[in-house]
Amino acid sequence: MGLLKKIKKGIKNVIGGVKKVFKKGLKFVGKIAASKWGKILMTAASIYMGGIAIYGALQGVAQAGAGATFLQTFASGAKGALTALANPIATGKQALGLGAQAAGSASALGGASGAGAFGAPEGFGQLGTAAAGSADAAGGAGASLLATGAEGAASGAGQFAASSGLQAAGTGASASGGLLSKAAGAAWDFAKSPAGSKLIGNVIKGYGEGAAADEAAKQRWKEQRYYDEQWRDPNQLMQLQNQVSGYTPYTPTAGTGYLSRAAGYQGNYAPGSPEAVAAYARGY
Amino acid sequence: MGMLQQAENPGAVDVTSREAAVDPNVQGAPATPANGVAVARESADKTPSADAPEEQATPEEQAEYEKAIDAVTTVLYKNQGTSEAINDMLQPQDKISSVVQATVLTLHQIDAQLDLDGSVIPQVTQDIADMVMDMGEKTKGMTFSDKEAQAVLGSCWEAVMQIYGTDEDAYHNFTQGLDDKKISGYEQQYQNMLKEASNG
Repeated sequence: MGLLKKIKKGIKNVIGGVKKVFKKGLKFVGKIAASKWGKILMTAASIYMGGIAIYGALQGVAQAGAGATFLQTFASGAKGALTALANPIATGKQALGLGAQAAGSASALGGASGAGAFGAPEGFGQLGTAAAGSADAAGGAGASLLATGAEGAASGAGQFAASSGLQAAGTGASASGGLLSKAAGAAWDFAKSPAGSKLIGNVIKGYGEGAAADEAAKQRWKEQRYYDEQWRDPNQLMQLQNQVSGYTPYTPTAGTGYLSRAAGYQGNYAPGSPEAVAAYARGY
Repeated sequence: MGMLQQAENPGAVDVTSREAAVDPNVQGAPATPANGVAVARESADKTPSADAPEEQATPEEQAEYEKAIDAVTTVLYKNQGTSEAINDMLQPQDKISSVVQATVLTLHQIDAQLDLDGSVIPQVTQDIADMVMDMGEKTKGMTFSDKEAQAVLGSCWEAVMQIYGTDEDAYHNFTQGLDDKKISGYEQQYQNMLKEASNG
């Protein structure tokens, strides 16, 4: 019991959020959103799974022969991948930047013992398959793996994984890239998903850095392209100039192609504002 | 756990009917082994008949949730690359498992970048699972019965719990206000819904 808490210190606790009620901004209503059982199922699973993990009843439940879980029953093929993701977030983030350690983790993930080691700290997913007494040993090995990277295949984890029947996680991964991509590469069939987690990560990273800034940048590029097009055609340029009485376009100071053309066509124009340039380019 | 004690007293709870599966008041044997924590919970339980409480998200949590959903829609719908990648992961011959993988990977990656508050993750998990199933239906011709949708959500949530975990304090807070019958009832619901989904 103490072991779990020790391992999980600083890790997100998510079950408390099951009771939160959020206002939905999307009009989309799927099967789960439309159901009455969604919240009940998550509550029940939280209590059942959380209770088992925390109160150390894992072995007892397994011995009682009632160890099936949703994950085991319906997503057994995903177990290797999911357990590979099951590294504590804070430690995982740290591990992402540690090449040697990540390589060690990836190597561990190359076999069933590694997947077991990653999955073990939570004690989930192996319900009903672990030999009595192996859960704690595997949990300790998992923590050790996460902490040191290279110590993954401790005997406890191996024994645990072997007894839990975890899938072999594939061929491992190269030394480059982060822990997640290694884990994913080792455990998932990313041939079917060539962009995979890296692509998602990049997109969200860009999003996290500011969707608004991203949109603004796109808009600026659009306007610049449009503006650039106009400068290629002197007649069009004249039309635009005629549409904007009294306006003198801004000439940016850093080099894009149209600057020199702008200088050639209208060397006498005084600087304006970027907004005015955009408006000019749009013709109003 | 109540399930353990249920094994000792299997007749105490109606585990067969559909009503029982969704009734948090289903009667069961006393839950949770007497290891001290259960005693503490019971002593703190001032509302023994209370159901699992729901509470409105705070404005901060709501904002966090909306941020997460924006990111989800970016990945699933707005960005062609990620949308195709997720879509490629969906396998009609292994639909539940593939939806679970796509859902959890999406959540994990979004959280890795945005560092979501833990309180929004359950709802976001539900929403992603819903959207991924919808994507599978529209692009791969997958169909999901209610039971299969239960299987998807149950599996996704267990995977999320596996990834993010919980501890005694969180579990204690979550179950505070629930007496042993309620706890046992939820455990029964879990088993019943698993059984029901398995028969789908």
